[in-house]
Amino acid sequence: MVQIDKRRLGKAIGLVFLAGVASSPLAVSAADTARVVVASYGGSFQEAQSKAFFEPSFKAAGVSVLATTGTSYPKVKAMVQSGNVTWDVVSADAAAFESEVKDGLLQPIDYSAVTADGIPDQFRTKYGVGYMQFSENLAWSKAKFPAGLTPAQFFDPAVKARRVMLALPYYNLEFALLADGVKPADLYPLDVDRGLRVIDRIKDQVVGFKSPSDVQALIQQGEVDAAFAPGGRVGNAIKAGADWAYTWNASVSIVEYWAVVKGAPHPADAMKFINFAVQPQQQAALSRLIPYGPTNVDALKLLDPAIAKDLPGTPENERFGAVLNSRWWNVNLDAVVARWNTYVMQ
Amino acid sequence: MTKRLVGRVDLKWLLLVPAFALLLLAFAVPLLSIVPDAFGGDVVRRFLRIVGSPVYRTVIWTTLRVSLEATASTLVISLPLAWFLSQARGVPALLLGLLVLVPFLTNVLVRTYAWVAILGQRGFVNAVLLGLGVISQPLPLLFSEPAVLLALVQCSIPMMVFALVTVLRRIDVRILLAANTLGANRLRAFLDNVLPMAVRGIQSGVTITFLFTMATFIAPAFLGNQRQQMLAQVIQSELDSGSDWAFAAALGVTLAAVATVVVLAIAKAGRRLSRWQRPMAAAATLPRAQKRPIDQKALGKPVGMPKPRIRLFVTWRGGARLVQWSYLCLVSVFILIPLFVLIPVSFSSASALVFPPPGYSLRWFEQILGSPEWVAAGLTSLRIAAATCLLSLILAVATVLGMGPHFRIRGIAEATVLSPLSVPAVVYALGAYLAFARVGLVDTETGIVLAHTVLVFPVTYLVVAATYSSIDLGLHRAAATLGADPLRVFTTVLFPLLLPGLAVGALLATLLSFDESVVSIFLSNLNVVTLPRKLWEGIRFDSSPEPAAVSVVLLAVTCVGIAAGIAVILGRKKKAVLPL
Repeated sequence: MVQIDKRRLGKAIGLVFLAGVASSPLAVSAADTARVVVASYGGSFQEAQSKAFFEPSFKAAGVSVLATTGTSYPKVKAMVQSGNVTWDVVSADAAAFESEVKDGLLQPIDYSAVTADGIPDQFRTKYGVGYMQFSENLAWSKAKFPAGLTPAQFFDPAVKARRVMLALPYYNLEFALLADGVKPADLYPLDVDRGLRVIDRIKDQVVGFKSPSDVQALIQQGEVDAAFAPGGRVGNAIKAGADWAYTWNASVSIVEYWAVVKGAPHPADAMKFINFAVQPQQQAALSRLIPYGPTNVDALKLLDPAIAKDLPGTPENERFGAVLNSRWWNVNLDAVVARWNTYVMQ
Repeated sequence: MTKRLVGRVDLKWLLLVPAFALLLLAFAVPLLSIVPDAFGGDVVRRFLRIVGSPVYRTVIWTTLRVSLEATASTLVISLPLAWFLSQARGVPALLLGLLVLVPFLTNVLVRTYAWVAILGQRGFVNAVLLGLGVISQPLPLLFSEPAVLLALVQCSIPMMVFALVTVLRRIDVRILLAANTLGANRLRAFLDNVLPMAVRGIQSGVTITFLFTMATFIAPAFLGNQRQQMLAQVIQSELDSGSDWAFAAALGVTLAAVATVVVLAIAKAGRRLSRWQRPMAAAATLPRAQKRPIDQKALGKPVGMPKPRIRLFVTWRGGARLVQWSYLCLVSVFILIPLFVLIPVSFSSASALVFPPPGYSLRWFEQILGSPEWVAAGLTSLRIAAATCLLSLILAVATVLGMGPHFRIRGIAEATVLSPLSVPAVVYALGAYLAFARVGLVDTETGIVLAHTVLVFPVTYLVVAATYSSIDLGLHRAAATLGADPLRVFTTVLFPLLLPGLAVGALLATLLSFDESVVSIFLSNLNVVTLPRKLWEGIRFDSSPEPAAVSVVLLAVTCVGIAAGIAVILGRKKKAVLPL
């Protein structure tokens, strides 16, 4: 009995292992048909990206795109470390982008292939091109605050409210300092001590430091009265029926980058795709589909003013807030995250 | 004879090879590939930072406390339920089984969200209390340890109940009758007879529940308080913030170490208590003097109930019945309450999870059942779940038989088998990616099946092992004496007796794999898209009600299956000549 069972088992396991080894080269070659693989996040955002960038890319730029999901710093790091890179281009938010730069996971952008004069220099970095902006905004329940809420009031313990903030130190510290009167131009280097002191004033009224999707759910269920959260999430909540409003005052905008993974199978086509996706037409197309702001100033001119006025990162809206300085965070992230985690848990 | 015996022992060891090969290649090797991260550079400082900081000490203590509280509560709540389920036959058994399965069939994101709608400022509980005038201000029920505990206990009930049922089913109810005749009341009969015999089931249920609660991060992050964070949640956010990978890996090692200590303690306690289970073995090995004195108090009493006590007896019985029914009602409400949120939300017309929904529509069902992408993802997940289930069952049976009833190093062997449950999923996912990429297993269904088998096999092992330990070895020997060869003994005696455990193991394995998201997301890319991956992406930008609709489809399919089972049973009853 023992022998037979063992043999059967061995066979089954062996087959499974063989199947895995045998099927994998096939799988890679199937994907490897000179199509640029672009990794984004999935969901409604990727649907908009498909319409604005991925689908028209072949016709307009001669680069056919195979879109996939799951971009994140740990996954890019694992992919490069394992030496089995299947992605060409990733969409990365400033935080992930800076971590990827720091760990040497990206290859330099070839600016002879990527030309977009409308994009300000600050977004044309060595390893990535900023192609879109989103923002974190102060938002409040109109039932609780019919007259609105200012950033200073958010941090005023006398203004009683159930507040929610984001789980990570970035955005929150900028918001606290701006609310405390720091000029956007003087924001960096961040005064972390002062930022934490400002948050400390109302920490006992903060019901939680939560992830963006949790914050949206809490807004919709009437669980909180005021929030500092992604503007897109607040917009979604309002669309789904929440009687809320938000402001560009003390908002913090952040850039989303296109970057090319080190060891990407199609680097030349990857540059061509990025070049196509940062042109004004395509950037404007994305903003028409989903309320995120373009980085290319020429794209703003193509947009209906009614749409443009509510986009993050436009000159009018940015006047009231700040842009996250990802370079400062790149240097200081480890130390500040450690302090922040300790602070939040105390 | 001796030669044959030696040969058999050796061959028995061979049965352990597949499982330990899997653990070595698909679990230990992947973990070793991230060890350089945890142990490279300044290791001492990193671990000192964890142990030395009051904040992280608090996190470890919170993790332990919450997991133990959740496990203990789950055990207390599940034990009677498991007993009823083990004694029920036919229609009641199917209905109870369906009840227990509900938390498993609902998506974790929606389930967690439902608790916000139940415990929140405008939730059910506060609405009822305000309506009754008990309170004038809504109570702050959310963002507290009890809220996290409720969510954890609710979703741990299925695993605990099924782990217990496999063993409880084996108990001969005539023992209770005997205890009753000897004068023990129902409670005493249960505590003195059923509990000691169920120790192995309790041990496996407690171990599974403890390890699963210790590794959860969604419920503590959403429903908990930032001052009471759990370790898995901290590891997740350390990795998300992308700051210090080595530190996150070191936290993962800490979690695994704490979990292993607790699992070993549970196993030791289980072994001490389960002496009860094998009175034969105890009688043979213990000298007479060491035997426990037999409780002879009841022996002198008359067997029949004395007259004056009859009244009391009737009220006691009535009371017990009342207790039993109110317990069943309360437990049902507790298990089913998230459905009161989930079902309406799945028919929502809104583009986000809102309760109560502003309007109703079928759009989410159309989205899921009408799109080839969603259907393909569902089928992929189903295929992966089926393969994982088969593989982990085969491994579990081989391992249990390989260890046999008197395995010398069972403690260490079991801790090894269980170790995948004590490592945070995201840490294992990272390691599996690095290791699997070398042999081309990343982005293949085979790779995900192997990773899922690593995570699911410990659960099936525990369930099958608990069932095996409740089988009377006398049957085994009797069959052998009557001339059956080992294969025949297995197919005619052991296998049929293991069947309930195998069924439960198969169910748990399929559902756990079907719902697994962390490892699937990490190991899949272009070729493999699983259902949980699509659901996760939908939540990231939209908080969309898709997971609720998927859960309702799953519930509906299960209900149809159960209804078919009920129809078969009722049809059989009608045809039966003799009452069953």
